[in-house]
Order: sequence, then C-alpha cells, then structure tokens
Amino acid sequence: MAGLCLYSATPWVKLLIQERYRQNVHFVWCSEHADTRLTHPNSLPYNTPPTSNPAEIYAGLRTYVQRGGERHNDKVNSIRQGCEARAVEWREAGVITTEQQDEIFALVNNPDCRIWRPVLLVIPRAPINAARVQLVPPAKRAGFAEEWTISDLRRDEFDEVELP
Amino acid sequence: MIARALPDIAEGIAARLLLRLLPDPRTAEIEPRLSALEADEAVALAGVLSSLKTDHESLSGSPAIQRQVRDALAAVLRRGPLSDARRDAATQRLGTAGSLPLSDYKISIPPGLFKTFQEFGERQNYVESAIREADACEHISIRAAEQEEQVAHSLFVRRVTSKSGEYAHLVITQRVGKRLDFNAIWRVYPEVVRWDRSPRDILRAFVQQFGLMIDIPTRAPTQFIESDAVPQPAYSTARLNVVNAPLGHEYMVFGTSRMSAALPVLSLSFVYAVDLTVYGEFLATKRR
Repeated sequence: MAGLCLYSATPWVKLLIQERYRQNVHFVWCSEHADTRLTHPNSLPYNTPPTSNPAEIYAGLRTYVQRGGERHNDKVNSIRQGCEARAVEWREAGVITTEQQDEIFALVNNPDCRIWRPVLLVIPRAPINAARVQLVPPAKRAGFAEEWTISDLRRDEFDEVELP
Repeated sequence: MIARALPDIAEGIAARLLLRLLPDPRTAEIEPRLSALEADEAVALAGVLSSLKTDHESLSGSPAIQRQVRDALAAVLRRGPLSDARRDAATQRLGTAGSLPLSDYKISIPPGLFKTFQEFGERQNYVESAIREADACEHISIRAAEQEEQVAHSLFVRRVTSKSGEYAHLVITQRVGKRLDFNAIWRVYPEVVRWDRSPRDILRAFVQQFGLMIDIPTRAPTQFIESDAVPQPAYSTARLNVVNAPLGHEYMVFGTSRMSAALPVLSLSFVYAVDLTVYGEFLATKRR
C-alpha cells in the first residue's frame, strides 16, 4: 500500500530559491519513508543508500551547519554549483531576469552556513493527483526502493519541518 | 585563478556542461553523461581540460579531476554575477526583500528615538539580541498604492526570562537594503498577549492594549493601520491626529508615513500610537 505521505530533505536556501524565483513551484525528489533505516531489514527501502534517504540527507546537512560550514564540503559545493548553473539556464530561457540570476548567486555564496540548514518536506499524498507523482525508473534510482519526483509541487501541498 | 586561465566559454554552455558533470548519486558513472555532450559543450570541455593540463581519459577515471573541471566551470559562471558591483547590488535587493540571513543586516538605532525606550529600561544590546537571536521573525513588504515603492518591515520576538518574570521583547524595524532601521522595542507580557501568534499579530494585540485611536482625513478612526494610501489634496496639511489621548498623558506615533511622489496620497504602513504613560505605569507594576 502506498504511504500516506512522501518525504524529501533539502537545504533551506533551495526552498527559498524555488519560492522566490520559481513562483513557489517546487521540484522534489522524494521517498515514502522519512528514514528508510527504520523499515524492516528485509524490505527494499531498508537498503536505500544514504544519498537517497531523507533522514540521512537531513543529518548530513545538519552536521555541516553545526560544524560551522567546512570550506570544502563536496555535497554543499555541488548543490551550490547546481543552483548557479540552473540560475544561468533560467536566465537564458527568459524565466528570470539578470538581476534575479545575480540574487541567486549572491544567496548561495552567502558566507553564513545556516542558509544550508536542512528542512524536511512532508507531502500528504491524497490531495495530489497521482499523475503528478512520477515513479523514478529503476535505472535512475540510487537503490532498489521506489523513489518519486514531483516537478510542480505547490507550497500549499507540503509542510516544511525543521527538526529540533 | 582557474577562471583567468580558462578559454572564453559562453555562460549558457558552461552552465549546461556543469549540470551534466555534477555528481549524481543515482548515476555514479560519468561516461554516459560525457558521451551525450552537445558539440558546443564538447568544445568547451576540451578547452577546460586543456587549461587544466589534463585529458578526457583522466576526467572519466578521476573524481578529483571531475571536481576541478566543475570548479573551473563554476568560476566561469561566477565572474559576472559575483563581481563586486553586481554582488553588492544583488545583496542590497535581497536585504530589502528579507532574504538575507539575519547576521548580514546592520542594525541602525537613532539615538534620539531610542531615548524614549531607555526610559523604559531598554538597552541597545536588547534590540540587537532580539534581532540576532529572535525566537520568531516576520518580514513584511507593503505597497500602499500600486505606483508606490514597497515599504519593508521586519518584526522580531525574543523571549526573556528575568527576576521579575517572563516577557518577550518585540522589536519593529524597517528594512532598507542590508540595514534594519530600528523603530520600536516593546515588552510584551504573556497576560497581555499570547506569544504563540505571529509577530505582526503580537504587535496588533499590544496596540489593542496600549494604543490610542488615530484619526486620518477621509478614514474612520482606528488604532492600527497596516497599510493604506489616503487621498491627500496638495493644499492640505492634515496628517495623523491622535484623538483620544487622556489629558497629561505622553504618547508617540510610530510607523511610516510619507507623501507619494507620484500621487496626491499619503502612504501609511504599520502606523499606531502608544500611550507611553499607560505603558510605563504597566511596566512599573511588573518591576515591583
């Protein structure tokens, strides 16, 4: 049976960028489990690699922030570079202005590491049309468990949680 | 340093190439992505590899070289947007929009205005703590009329435990670029206002308790104006009047009011008046 909710972990700054520059429409890669390590050891989700487990993505970002933001963190550098490349792509496509592109660059290069603090998105499935929830093909998944993407998630369709 | 040594790559091509080369936990192999390069991307990649004095084969087999290539492409993308002038302008816009971390804002407290609050026992460092260590923060941007510039306010709430009990500091500021212009600091006690509300609602409830009625031409008297554009003939000097201040009481009007440059209107945001005598007497009862 499909879970009642989907879960996704992301840095706060990415949420802000999608809110401000994508009309609050969010692209999310999600899992049926907030923490796949808590599933039955014989189940497929149990073997999900850390890079696809929301709880471990969350923990990784939280550790980064708690340590004051190491200068050379590959994960954060990759997300930063991804945001910058997308900003250029959106500007070239006419989706955002040059000023907005520059704002995205300034945001993700802000020296305050707390912009990378993690947020957990909790997405109730019932109100979302099933056709919008795309099952990721097995070849593109990190593990054996099912993973999902939603490319047009609206802000009123999920809750944003920062764990204590 | 890497960017200076790079061939001149168009930003769009560098962005596409970078997106292809970013590590993807789901397809760890880089080969499929490299073989799918467009012709312009392949030329750009060859240029980057040459500038790094390495080759395609090394790229496939070495995560360290892949990282160097990504860093070089990112450096190409950053040259324009992160130049001093453009970065500074972008940061100012982000500041006004309320998108910067609170640590980035410079707090400006006019000494003349702050004197009023010193009389109630407030210190400048209380304002700074309330902003830097806020328990709740709300950024609000208001456009009183379509042709008007936005006025940006930020409200902060910080809970304080002292010998005389618990209260919260409510600080109201106006955002101007990377600056927070101090407007007011109030002590809010839980018996007066519930703290589980938004800072804006806490301010409204505080004004209900200590506020005075404000009269504006063409409008009904009210205690709190969040946003309004009041028609104002050019010859008129009528502005805001506090109408029910008890005789001998001190009061003060807070908020932003300005005559529009484009229209004969008075733009108002977050305007309220506080009976300072009543507020001071209330604080005195808490200190006994």
